[in-house]
Amino acid sequence: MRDRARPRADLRTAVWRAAALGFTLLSGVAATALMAEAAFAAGFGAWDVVCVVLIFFTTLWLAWGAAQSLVGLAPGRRPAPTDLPHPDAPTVILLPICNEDARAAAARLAAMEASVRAAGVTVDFAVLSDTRDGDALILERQAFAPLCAHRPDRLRVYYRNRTENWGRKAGNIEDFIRNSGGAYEFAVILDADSLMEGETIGHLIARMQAAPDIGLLQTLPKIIGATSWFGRAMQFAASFYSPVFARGLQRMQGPTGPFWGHNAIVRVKALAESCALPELSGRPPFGGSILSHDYVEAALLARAGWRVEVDPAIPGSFEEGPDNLVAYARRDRRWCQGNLQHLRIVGAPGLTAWSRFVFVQGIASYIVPLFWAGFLLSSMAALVAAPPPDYFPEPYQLFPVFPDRNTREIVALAIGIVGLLLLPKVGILAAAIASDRTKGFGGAARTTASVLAETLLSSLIAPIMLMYQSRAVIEVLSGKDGGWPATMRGEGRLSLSEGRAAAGWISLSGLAALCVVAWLGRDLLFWLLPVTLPMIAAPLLIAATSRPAPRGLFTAPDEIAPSPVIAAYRTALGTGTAQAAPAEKEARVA
Amino acid sequence: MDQNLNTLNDLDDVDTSPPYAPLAMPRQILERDRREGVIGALLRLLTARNA
Repeated sequence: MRDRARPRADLRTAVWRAAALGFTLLSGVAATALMAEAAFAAGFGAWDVVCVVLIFFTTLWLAWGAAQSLVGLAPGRRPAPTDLPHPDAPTVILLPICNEDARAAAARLAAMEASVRAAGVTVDFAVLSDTRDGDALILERQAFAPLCAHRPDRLRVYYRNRTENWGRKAGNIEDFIRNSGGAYEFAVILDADSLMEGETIGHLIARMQAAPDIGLLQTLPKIIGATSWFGRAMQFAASFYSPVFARGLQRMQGPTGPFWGHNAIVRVKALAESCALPELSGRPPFGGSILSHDYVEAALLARAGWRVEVDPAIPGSFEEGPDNLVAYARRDRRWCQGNLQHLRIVGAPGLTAWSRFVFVQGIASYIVPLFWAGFLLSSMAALVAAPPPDYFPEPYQLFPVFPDRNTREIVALAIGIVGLLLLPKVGILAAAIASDRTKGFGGAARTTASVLAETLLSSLIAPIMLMYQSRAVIEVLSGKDGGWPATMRGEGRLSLSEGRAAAGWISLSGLAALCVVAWLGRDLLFWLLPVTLPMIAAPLLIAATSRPAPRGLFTAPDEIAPSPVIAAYRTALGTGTAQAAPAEKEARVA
Repeated sequence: MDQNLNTLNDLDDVDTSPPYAPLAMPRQILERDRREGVIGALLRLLTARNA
């Protein structure tokens, strides 16, 4: 039972929340009013009601994202904590893996081990393998064997492989805590593609030592190692926009912050007493193991009275991302199922109101694309169902009155929606130029070019993702379990035929929509081109964006001046041996 | 919860098992009793502060 008071948001957090929610509601109401006014002028039909309702919810979602960035852009940052103690608490770095590229994972571990040692911090590493494939297991054991050998000049590295993979990743960590958690005060949870500087790990331990009421401290990992147009655009966005969004999140969530499953430190006692996840009753997709376990663990920590915080200002935390749209959509399918499964958890007893709101937000992130699709279809249906124009509404009228679809209101609505989409990007770019943050991204001109290219690319990709997400939601709601496919990182370039195999159905859907709209009337054709054309070109876009992008565009700070742990990892990977981290070589020479 | 270490030559000669220091992890309750019905669930949600 809980014996600690749940963390309460302070006044400042409450004000940020109220301001963001107020802006969001105001935007939603304004968009709805404009839509309703335009529809009334043309004769309000049943489909118009659907359009008005859907535009309300879709605008709410867009405005919420914009509000988060505005809150993040607001001045008055919290100063970094000073006078931290020396990080000396017993800590373990957990590396859960499952059928991963073992050579790369071992190279990352070698780089981190050397970096932690160089930072003067003592920790243990534990590789928690859930790998079941025989060949992959052999390679994995060979890759990690040199790191596990006892050596007085090295930190301890443990390795264990589970023969029963209950509970997936959360179960893997739980298994470790149940058997070995008593030996440690803190655990840094990583992903197979995570990298962290030793200094960062030391800082996290010190922060936890200094604040005994914090249960979990989340860092904002930056994406590294991308080479394709798609991957590099994501990498740029994660480096350029995400810190601002995360600062907005930090301000609004306060002590009820997020857990993103990795690149975070957790108090082992807190995790043990409050985060043993149950299997949900019934079968997947809504029953069984909890897929998006991190959100639930953050909510359970808060329920048990622990503070959960995110600090995007902590440097030296990295991860890798999918290099093409198909891999991204595959991962997104898993996240979609995980977030929709939270429908079962949102009413769990004892959660804080904000935790419930976070669940609703995660669910909405997948439902809203369906609303957008519904809005487009309803707009088409409204056009079909509209009454025939009445050119002489008054008796004895001399001149005809031409029907007016209230273009002014529709244009205002479109500008408003596009504005909400662009506001965060423009705001972040303006603030970065003013503060000279663009220097790390290759200067103001290059950053502006990168923002324009990223905006164009994300606009082209958006209708394709809308289709993938709509399909994912429909699949989950109709009871289809997507399972837990391993994230394929760096699977790279896709051919046009691979793009066609993955998105041929999107092309056909786009073509059908275009034909239907053209047949209905040209009014809507122009408005729907930005949606239908990328859909038709989906295979081409998928293949083209998986090709290598020029290095001059989407420059990120970690490309200009790579973090030492990234350089050490690449060297270790290049030499093909996890033993050859450069920091270690230097130590031997010294 | 079997966590046998598969035996292969490369890791055979090394003890790679993490230290044995068990820690209790009570299973958390996330689902409400379905028998309480919608009104009961709503009442519990409204009084969640004391849950």
